[in-house]
Amino acid sequence: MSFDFGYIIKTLPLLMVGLKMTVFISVLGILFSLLIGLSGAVARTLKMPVVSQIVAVYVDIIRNTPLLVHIFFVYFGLPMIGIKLDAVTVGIVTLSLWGGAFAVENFRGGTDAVSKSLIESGESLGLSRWQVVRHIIVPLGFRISFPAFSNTAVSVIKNSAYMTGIGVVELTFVAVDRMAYDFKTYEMLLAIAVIYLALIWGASYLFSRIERRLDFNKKTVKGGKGRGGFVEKLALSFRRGN
Amino acid sequence: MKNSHFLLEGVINTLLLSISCLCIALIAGIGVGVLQMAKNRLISSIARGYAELFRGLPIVITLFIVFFMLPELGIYVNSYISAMIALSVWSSSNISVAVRGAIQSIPPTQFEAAHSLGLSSMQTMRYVILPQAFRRMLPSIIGLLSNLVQSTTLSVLIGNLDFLKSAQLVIERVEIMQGGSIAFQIYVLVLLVYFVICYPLSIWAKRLERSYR
Repeated sequence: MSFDFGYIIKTLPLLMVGLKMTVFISVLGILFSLLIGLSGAVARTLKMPVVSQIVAVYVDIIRNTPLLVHIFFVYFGLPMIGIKLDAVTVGIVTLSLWGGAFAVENFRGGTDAVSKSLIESGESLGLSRWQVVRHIIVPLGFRISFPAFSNTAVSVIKNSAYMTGIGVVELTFVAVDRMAYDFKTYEMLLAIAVIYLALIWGASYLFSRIERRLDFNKKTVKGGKGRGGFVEKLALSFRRGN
Repeated sequence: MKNSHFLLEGVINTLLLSISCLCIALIAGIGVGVLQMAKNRLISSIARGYAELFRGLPIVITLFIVFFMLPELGIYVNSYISAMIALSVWSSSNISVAVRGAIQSIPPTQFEAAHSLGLSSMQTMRYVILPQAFRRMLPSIIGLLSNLVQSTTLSVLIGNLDFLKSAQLVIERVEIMQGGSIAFQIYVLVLLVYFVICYPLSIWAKRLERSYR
């Protein structure tokens, strides 16, 4: 077994192209999941007729079927009924729908927890339905359920690797492609494993910082007082990822 | 007729793969989870590192690592076994965290009571702590099983013949033999079958969770 470090350095520019695509898909996926999640959660909490039921069915379907099948369905199945999308768009759409379904459940925990009296007092002050949603339910629900959502967001980053299946040129695809050409299996696998871990652990850490900022009670990270150091906090933040 | 038979075989393969992974992962996961609580810092940090590593990596990467690295190490196995190893590693790391959480949630008086009865720490785990912990983590294990059934589709990427792969082959076969594509219908069927398998599991998990609360 010979390990060729030079090869990793040499392929780094290519890997960065893949990384860029991974980050692009993931960021858009997370943003759209956030939007879908918040609006779906509000619809469910307010029990809006029809919309609420549609959201419930959507969530159940997405959560109980594999992401890879969604991807293949949209990429290979939908063109038959006239919907043709390119691979990257399919990636963003499926990832957003997937993350959105999980985010609805995440945010519902928060929006349901907003107390009824707050909503009623908002209404009695003469706020419209929309204003109640905009100024009371969404901000409070978001803060309460952000920790749950951050798990989903990290999973969205991880699941961007599924897009290799339809040939989106992201990190995994680049590495597998290189392995097929140069047979430098060890080097490529190590390289992408390290890059993914850095990306995912970095994102987890970032989210845990945001969580602490949003936390009402300004508690420290799980584990309580006296476990200060940076490394310890980093380690704690990893434990929440799925 | 032949196609439907082929698809059925795919479903059976998928179920076999998921259940065998769950069995391996349960044993390994409980082991790793208990080791995470070990007094010896080296052992506990290795066990924790294992869990963090494989929970952090995307399953696809774990799958590729197992699939491409084993032959380099001189171990030749087919894609079914590779998928089984990779998915077991992934799910055991998840189970180990659930186990640790469940053990930590058990009141320390239980440990003290067991000790004062003269049980060794091994016996305490085996007869007192784990049976209680297992009930608490049952919902997350059922949830994981549903997740596992869904994750087995990834084995398609390394060429394992699971349900999704058999569906793809049927689509190709029909396309070659009869012209027109039936991709849409087959993928709807695939979605439906996975839903029928996973939906009861997630409802069961939800119900268990509620009953323990």
